[in-house]
Amino acid sequence: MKQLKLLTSLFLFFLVAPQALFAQDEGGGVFDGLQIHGNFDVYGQQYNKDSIIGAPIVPEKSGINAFTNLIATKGKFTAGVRIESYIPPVQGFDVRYGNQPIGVPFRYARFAQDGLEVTAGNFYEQFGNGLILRAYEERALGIDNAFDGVRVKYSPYKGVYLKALVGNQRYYWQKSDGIVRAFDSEFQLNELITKLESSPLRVSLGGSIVSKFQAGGNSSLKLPENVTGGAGRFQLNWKDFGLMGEYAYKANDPTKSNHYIYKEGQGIFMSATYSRKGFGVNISAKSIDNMEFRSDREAGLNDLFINYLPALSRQHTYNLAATLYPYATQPNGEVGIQGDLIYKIKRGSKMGGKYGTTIQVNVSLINALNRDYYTNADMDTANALLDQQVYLEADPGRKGYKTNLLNLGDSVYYRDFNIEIDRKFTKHFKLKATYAFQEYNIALIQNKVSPNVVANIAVLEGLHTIGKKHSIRWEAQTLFTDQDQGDWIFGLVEYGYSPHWIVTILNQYNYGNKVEDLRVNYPTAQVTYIQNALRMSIGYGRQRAGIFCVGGVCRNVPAANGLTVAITSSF
Amino acid sequence: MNLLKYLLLLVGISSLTAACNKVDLPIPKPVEVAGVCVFPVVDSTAINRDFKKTYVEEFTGHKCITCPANTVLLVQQQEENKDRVIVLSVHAGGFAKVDLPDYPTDFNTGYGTDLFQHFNMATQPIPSAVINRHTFPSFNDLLVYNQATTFWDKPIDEENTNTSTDFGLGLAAEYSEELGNFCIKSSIEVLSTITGNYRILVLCAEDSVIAEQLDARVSEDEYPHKIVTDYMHRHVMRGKLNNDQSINGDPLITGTIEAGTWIDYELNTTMPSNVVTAENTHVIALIVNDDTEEVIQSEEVHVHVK
Repeated sequence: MKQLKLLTSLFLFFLVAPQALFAQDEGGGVFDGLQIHGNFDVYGQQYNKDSIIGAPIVPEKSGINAFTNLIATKGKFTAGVRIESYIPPVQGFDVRYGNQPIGVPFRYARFAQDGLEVTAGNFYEQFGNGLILRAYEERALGIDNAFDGVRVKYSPYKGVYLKALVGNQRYYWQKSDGIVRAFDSEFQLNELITKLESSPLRVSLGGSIVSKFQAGGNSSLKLPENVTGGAGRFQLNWKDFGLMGEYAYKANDPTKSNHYIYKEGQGIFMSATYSRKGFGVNISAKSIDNMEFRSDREAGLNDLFINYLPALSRQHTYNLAATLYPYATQPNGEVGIQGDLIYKIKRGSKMGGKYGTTIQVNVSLINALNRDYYTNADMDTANALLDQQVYLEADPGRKGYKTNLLNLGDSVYYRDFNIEIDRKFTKHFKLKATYAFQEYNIALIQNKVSPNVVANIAVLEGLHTIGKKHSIRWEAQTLFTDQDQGDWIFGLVEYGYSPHWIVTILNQYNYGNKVEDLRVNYPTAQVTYIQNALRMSIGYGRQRAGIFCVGGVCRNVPAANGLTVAITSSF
Repeated sequence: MNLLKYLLLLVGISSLTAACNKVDLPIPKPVEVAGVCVFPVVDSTAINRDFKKTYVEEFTGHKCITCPANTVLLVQQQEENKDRVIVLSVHAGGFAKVDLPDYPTDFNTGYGTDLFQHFNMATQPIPSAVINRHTFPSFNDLLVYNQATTFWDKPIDEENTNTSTDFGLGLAAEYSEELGNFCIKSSIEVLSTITGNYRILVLCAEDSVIAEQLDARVSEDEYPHKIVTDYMHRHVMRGKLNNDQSINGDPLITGTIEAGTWIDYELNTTMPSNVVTAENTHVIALIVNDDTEEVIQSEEVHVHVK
């Protein structure tokens, strides 16, 4: 009934929208000044039977995910809706999206005036780095933890920015049981204090409080119905240097994923940057313990996260490095450090060549956080004892374990050392060479019974431009490992006819698989057409099973064989 | 003034969002009352699901002069296979009689005597051993092994080679000296679908009991009449803890039971009166096929004394 009302409202909206635009042209009427814009995004896949690559059999033979955003603005008012349809969801996206083929899960109205902004309905939000609160949509991962409620932003004084919100989070086509209440304040000292306005030292301070409520239910445990977390942050910039940090704390929050322990959670994130023309360096460090913060204590997978823990691993773009062993952040505990360095060798120099050369180096080291369990047992035994939900003499408070944020564990979660050299040799030819060494805890991240995967990856990418309209881009990639599926090779050739057409042919081959029958080719061909904001592509071929990650958050991508269609546009 | 107003606003909003419930004791500590058990937690992850353990009943007595030398061999074999072999010393028969003034200690138990008779030990040399209460076709198909037969180490070695079991058997035991509660819990996981009649037998053993023992190995100069007055007796049976009168314990399974089924068995009892030091006691649980009387799985835990 609710959806019917929404669809009726939408229908009326579409009915009046053209009149509004018409009225605008005529220069009068109620809808004078009304602007409507939006975008749409359709991704569809057709599935053929292909047992050799482990493609699941899809009875519907196809899947489509489609999104349409419509946003109307008039003066101080903004209103928007997003129509989503999953008929049925594309394989790899949560099947719960298919519980409703089409609907309007996102709608809002916003009013802004004199430093005050009020949003009613759905909205996304982030406090600081997100350690304590981040509601966002990552369509490629199937993540949408938008709030449905009310948010007020207010700037009572120059340099002072306050936000307060209350709402439930989106849970596929439903809402979470938990209510989230949050408040954030940020102080830009250079705006707030007149004397500091022109200071080269830029200082920003911020603090947040987030609380969730969820009824206790029928557990044998006495559950805290209200759980509060907080975070404090700073950012300093001085000339070419930058330093930022955030510390977050969460009170007792027993959840399914932490085996219902009542231990507090903590997290710290620091990042230092130095950059000048042609040179940049960044070092980031993170340590987190028991910082999974969700609005439903029973939720799993990527569902109903209130917070977001920034990734400390490079987001690779080349196929083999990006989709075989990408790291997923472990919210229950990890310690990591990442360094990035970029250096551009001057053009015209001996080393830099005629057009200059760019070198990029990235290192990620992520380990477990060491834990001492109160039950004097290993992790599995201790968790099993906690799962029995009985009084434990050794741990009456169900704290689970002792640790601190500097307690680096021996277990390696992830190692990545990669170097990328990018050089333009002639006006028409550019080459990029990449090497990556990765160590990957596949048992932890992919639940596979295997020692850590150690992989060496090499990539060569060339770009040739022929006249103003034609270009050829190619990639040659290889991955060597003794573990998991063994060695891979990947090749791609892409022809571009500017400005509208791109034709791509690629293949990947698991030639090093220990099982001879699984030494399979994954050929794919794709044609893309671009016209202003419109982008359409159609492809056919095999899709390898793998993992797709964005910012340390991942989803499984199942194997598939068939046709793919993607259309995006905005207006 | 403005700043004060905004600070008040800030504090006001913060207090609205900062609702938090701190829970110090998620599960109230169970109140222990004399005669009422708070059963201990069985660590389900530590359960052996890979093989059938080797349960050895050693029939002995303090007046058996050759027994200590043989016990040493048995204890040594157990030490070499700590995760597999469980030993229980049953003092019964003529060699276990109290005989004042040299043999004042009474190691006899009702269940030990029942077993002695059940296995017809009066016709066997002492010491003798029964391994998982079944016969071994490779070694003359005997039930009882001793120096007059193939020595017991061979069938024990053979039993130690098995690589499967139908049951995972978890066990935990707690004894409160103050209240006298002796609470035992066993969690059994059925690993393959089986049909039959099975019982669970729970026994109490005490280790390192110092008492007299006749021992051929010592010199008479040191120990007159070769009676070692400070001999350390190992794994001494102190009694059967089940209430059922059957020699195989309490009924556990009758008929067919599916793989994956868990069975919890709880026993609220008292510490046997012949126990000298509760801290040295162990509980041994056996799953016995009631039709064949074979022990098909066993486990032993140290008693946690509170």
